[in-house]
Amino acid sequence: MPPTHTVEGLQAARAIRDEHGAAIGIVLLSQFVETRHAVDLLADGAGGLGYLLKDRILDPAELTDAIRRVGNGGSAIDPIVIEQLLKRRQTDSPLAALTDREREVLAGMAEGRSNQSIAAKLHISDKTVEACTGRIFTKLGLEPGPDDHRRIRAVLTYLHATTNH
Amino acid sequence: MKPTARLPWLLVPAAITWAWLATRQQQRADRPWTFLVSDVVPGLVLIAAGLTIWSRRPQNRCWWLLVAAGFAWYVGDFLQSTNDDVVLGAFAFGGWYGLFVGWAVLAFPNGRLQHRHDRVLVVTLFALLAGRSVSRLFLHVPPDVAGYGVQNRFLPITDDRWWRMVEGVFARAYVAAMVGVLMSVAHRWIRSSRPGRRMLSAALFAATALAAAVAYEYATGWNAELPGATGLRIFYVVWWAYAAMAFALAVGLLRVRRTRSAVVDLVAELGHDAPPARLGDALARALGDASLTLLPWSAAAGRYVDDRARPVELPVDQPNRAVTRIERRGEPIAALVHDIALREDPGLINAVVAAVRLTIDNEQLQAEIETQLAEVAASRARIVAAGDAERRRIERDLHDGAQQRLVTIALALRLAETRLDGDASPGVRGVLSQAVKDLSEAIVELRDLARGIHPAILSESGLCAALESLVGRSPLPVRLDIVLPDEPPSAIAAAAYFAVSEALTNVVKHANADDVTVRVIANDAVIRIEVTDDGDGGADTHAGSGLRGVADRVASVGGTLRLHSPAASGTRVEVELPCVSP
Repeated sequence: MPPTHTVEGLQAARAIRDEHGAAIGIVLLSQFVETRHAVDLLADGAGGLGYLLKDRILDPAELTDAIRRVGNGGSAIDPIVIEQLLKRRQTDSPLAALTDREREVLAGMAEGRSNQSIAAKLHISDKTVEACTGRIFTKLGLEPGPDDHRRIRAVLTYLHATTNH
Repeated sequence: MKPTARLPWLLVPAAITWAWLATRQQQRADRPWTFLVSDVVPGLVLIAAGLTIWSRRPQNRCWWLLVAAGFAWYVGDFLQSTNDDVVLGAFAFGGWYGLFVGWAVLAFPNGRLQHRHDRVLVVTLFALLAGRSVSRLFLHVPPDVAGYGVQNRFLPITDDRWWRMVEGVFARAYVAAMVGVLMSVAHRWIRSSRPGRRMLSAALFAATALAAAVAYEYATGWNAELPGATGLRIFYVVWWAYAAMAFALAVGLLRVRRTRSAVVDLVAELGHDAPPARLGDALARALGDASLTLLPWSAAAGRYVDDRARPVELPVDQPNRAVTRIERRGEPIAALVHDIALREDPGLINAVVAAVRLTIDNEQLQAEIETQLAEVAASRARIVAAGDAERRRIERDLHDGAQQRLVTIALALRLAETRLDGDASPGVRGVLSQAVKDLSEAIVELRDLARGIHPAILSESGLCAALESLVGRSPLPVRLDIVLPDEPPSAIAAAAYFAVSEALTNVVKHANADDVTVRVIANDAVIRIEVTDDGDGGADTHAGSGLRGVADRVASVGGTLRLHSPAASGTRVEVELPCVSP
């Protein structure tokens, strides 16, 4: 975005957030998505934030789903960010203990999806997703929370912390 | 070498023939072999010494003085001849080698008589020997010395008083003249500085031997030409003293030459980075002249300067000091202030001048090369920086131009798809859908391309974030340890980023590795980067252009890249970068 073509978008999002709090939901569409920016954006704790690749607009269903989630005070994080976080250092972290299915569910949670959304995306039942999330939280040693946004923040922070240190 | 310059070698067969003839005369007298050897050796040593000096330093006149002494040496042996004329000649001209030897000692080392009293001594020796020859030819020789069968056949004088008087005067004056030779050399030796003394010590030894031998010969048996047991002993002592003396002169002259080559060796050993002060000290040591100073010429000041670049006046008209100016193509380079004794060997000074010129030339070339190298390094850094700026521009153009346009087109197609309202044929819908899909892939490819050209996050969020992003996008799990207190300058950050990027690309492409670690540790001065894998190894910076290019980029900011990649033992790429731009 002009004028310096670097991180004005992120700065604008932060400025809006500082001025209006979570009252205004923000979906940030970016040419590149970086995990560091995602973690920074979500650092203030409030929901109502989305961080997606610009070309996600070419899939209207996914885009409207993400906007709705953000509008409802939830979050929408681009799958690429989550993929990168999950991929690193799987061998010697608790993430290695997860099954493939649990990993997929964790990715969905980290993107900011609700249990229903995850179930729909993975073509499994809500019950299965719920059972999965319980096991994931136990394995990673996280407190399970009802709030989707808090859940995603916990997961993202966990992923970011474990993958970089 | 000119043909005439080879002529002295003809003296070798001449000398051997001459010595052989002389020995034949002595054999007739039934001498013991010790006598024959003692008789023949000094002459040959004198000739050999002379020829050796000639072969190394043909312009030095000492050589023919020694050769002449050698030939004159054997004249006395012909007293044993059967021919009366030959016997008389040998008797009259037997001692002339003393003139040539004394002359050579006085003229040592450069072959010229330097002082008036030296010339007086040579003339005296000549006069004495000439007087004795005349006396022996024309005056009556008493019968008790005439055991050789000498008899005067020119003048009918029967009184031997005159002859005895001449012989007595000759003996005393001859010894005195030889002592004079010794004193002259000793005087020169005492007045010389260390280098001069080192050079003159051979002459001093020779003069001492000569004076001692002559004094002994004439004090004990000047009239004992009849060889009894005493006469034999005198012969032995005196003859071997002459041989030793000739040997000393030759060695002394050749040692001067050795000093010269020592100077050249020394300068060669000093190498090209010798500052004038160090060169001056080294020359002072090699020449044994502690007072030697080398004063470089300062073109800026138009003066000679000392080692602290202060202008100095060259000493003129100082006793015992001499100044040698060193020039190249008429331009002064330096001046050498030294003991005047070094002048006695012009060859030595020439060697020193050549050596100094060479060393200072080298130094100037070195300085020029260093300047050029600095310019090349700076221009290389500028080229890389310009390349980086261009990469950033291209990345931004792709970001703002092509990618936006592709997204817009894809969006338009998607819109068209939704507006078909079911009235179009299914084929059209399929075509549109496929076009959007292809465009999406094109956008992804373009994004990866743009990131490869220049990672936006590097300029947005710095090296640490860029490396995290890079590692995150790697298809292999990569451990990243990073300690980076301050963001380095952009050229260095770019070098670090592309080094890690290339190393990771290589790991993915070639290494067949399971475990990859990127370690970045920085302190105030230097950033150390290590990319280690446990793969196949055997990587080579020359095999592919990738690491080669990274090494060049790293070098352009003053860093180094090292590759440890033994076969089957993994690969480690080590990069060290300075924290500040060069």
